[in-house]
Amino acid sequence: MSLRAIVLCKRATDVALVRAAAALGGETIALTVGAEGEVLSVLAGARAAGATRLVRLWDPGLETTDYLGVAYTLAAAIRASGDPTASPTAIVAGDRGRGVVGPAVAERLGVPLLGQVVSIAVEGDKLVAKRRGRELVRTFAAALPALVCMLPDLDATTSQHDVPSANSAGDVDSWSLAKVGLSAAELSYRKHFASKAAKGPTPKPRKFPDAAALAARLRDEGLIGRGGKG
Amino acid sequence: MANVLCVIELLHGKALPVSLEVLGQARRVSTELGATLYAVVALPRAPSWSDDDLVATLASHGADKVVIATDETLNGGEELRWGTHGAALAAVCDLLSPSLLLFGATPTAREVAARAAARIGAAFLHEAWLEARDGAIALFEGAGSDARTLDDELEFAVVATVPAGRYSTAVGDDEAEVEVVATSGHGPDFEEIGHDADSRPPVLVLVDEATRAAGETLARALGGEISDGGGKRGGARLVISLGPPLPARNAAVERRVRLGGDDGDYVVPGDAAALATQLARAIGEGKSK
Repeated sequence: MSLRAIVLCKRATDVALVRAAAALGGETIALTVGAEGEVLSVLAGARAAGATRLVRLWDPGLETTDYLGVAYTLAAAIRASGDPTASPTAIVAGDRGRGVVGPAVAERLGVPLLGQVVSIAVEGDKLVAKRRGRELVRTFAAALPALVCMLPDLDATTSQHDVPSANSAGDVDSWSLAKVGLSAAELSYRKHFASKAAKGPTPKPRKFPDAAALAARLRDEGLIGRGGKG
Repeated sequence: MANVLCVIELLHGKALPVSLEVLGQARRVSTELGATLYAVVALPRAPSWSDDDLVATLASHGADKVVIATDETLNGGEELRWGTHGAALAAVCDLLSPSLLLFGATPTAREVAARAAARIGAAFLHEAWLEARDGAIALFEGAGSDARTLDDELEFAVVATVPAGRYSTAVGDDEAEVEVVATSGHGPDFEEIGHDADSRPPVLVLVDEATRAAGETLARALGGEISDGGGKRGGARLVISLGPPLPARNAAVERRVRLGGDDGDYVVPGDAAALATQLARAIGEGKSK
């Protein structure tokens, strides 16, 4: 069976995930949840980055759901695009912001999960991922299907000229909840778990009295070594 | 009675400072709510009576009970990861049905907290505030006018990560009841097959013209690099600024430190260049110990 990579796209910077997934070879599906006006430019970027198929899923009921409602929807869409256990499937999500949807999709699908990933490759029938650890970059391998959450390349810059227009996305499969075997009623209970806007506390930095106290704290956190190296 | 679980992340066998801070705020919240506070640690085996320092530490920082989730597949030194620690946490959650499941907001806890939330169908808050008042709890994510909140009745489980430095530690008893939960049944997972040195600098010191010399001294002491803030700013785990703006919070930068200013995660007030020299000296003294 040929390899499939499915990229969970949400924002324009997710083109980096698509590039990494497309480099694996095989079919690259960019999958997003959102209204057409919100996500078409994201999908256009995914197409330009190498996605061979674009899928957009939307239902007004998704507006009020929480991360888990979105994850249920994405997991159902992945299954609807082809059984991930029947053909080798790598699923790629972004490890940024709250970083909750990717792991929730992994849980829903019951597949191996690895976060803090900086690069991916396929070797034989396994997905090989490099994960940024405390002091080392560790290499992991898992049989497919598996899901990785990739860190953004923080030093990469995207100019305005790199962002394709929304109408360059080409063919986009527009799916409803019914298409993936879900109904709005199945997700509606998650609206009770969604947060709502409110005025919250304002963060203040932790103040240290002197440089020695700061050094001791950073050492205890493993952010600087006892040997003087970070 | 509600159960509040605080997952303790270890480094070289000791609880991370952020874990003890989260435990501290969980203590205050649990007292306000009348909840039982559990500190949860995953270990290869239960500690013997002769090496119960960890249990004593967690008790003295406020835990009512310490849950040791034993899993023989752990070696005790690995970093937190769902594949290694997920089964242990799942076993504890199945047993105790937490109302609140708390983690320190570390890069390694990100995937574990998020997947644990999905597993128990909980609400999720990233870099949360846990505020207890008048027998109730207010939970926030974000800050100020951009914040979001959950209904404060805690009618459903909530999983939250809490950043380092947000709360102070608490003082508890010298002893806590210990429960041991044995883990079994790992699902399919990634297997570690090797490792490499990290090509990014461990520390990035941001300097301007006035602080360049002191910044170079500090970067040398830390084995890091300097930058004027215009180029690489986000790749290191630790970013220390002696002048230029700090990068925004993100998943890769674990701590942002400001010497001689008032923004970032940690600050030391005073003259930035002098503080950099003092910090380099303190690091050198740590090296000689």
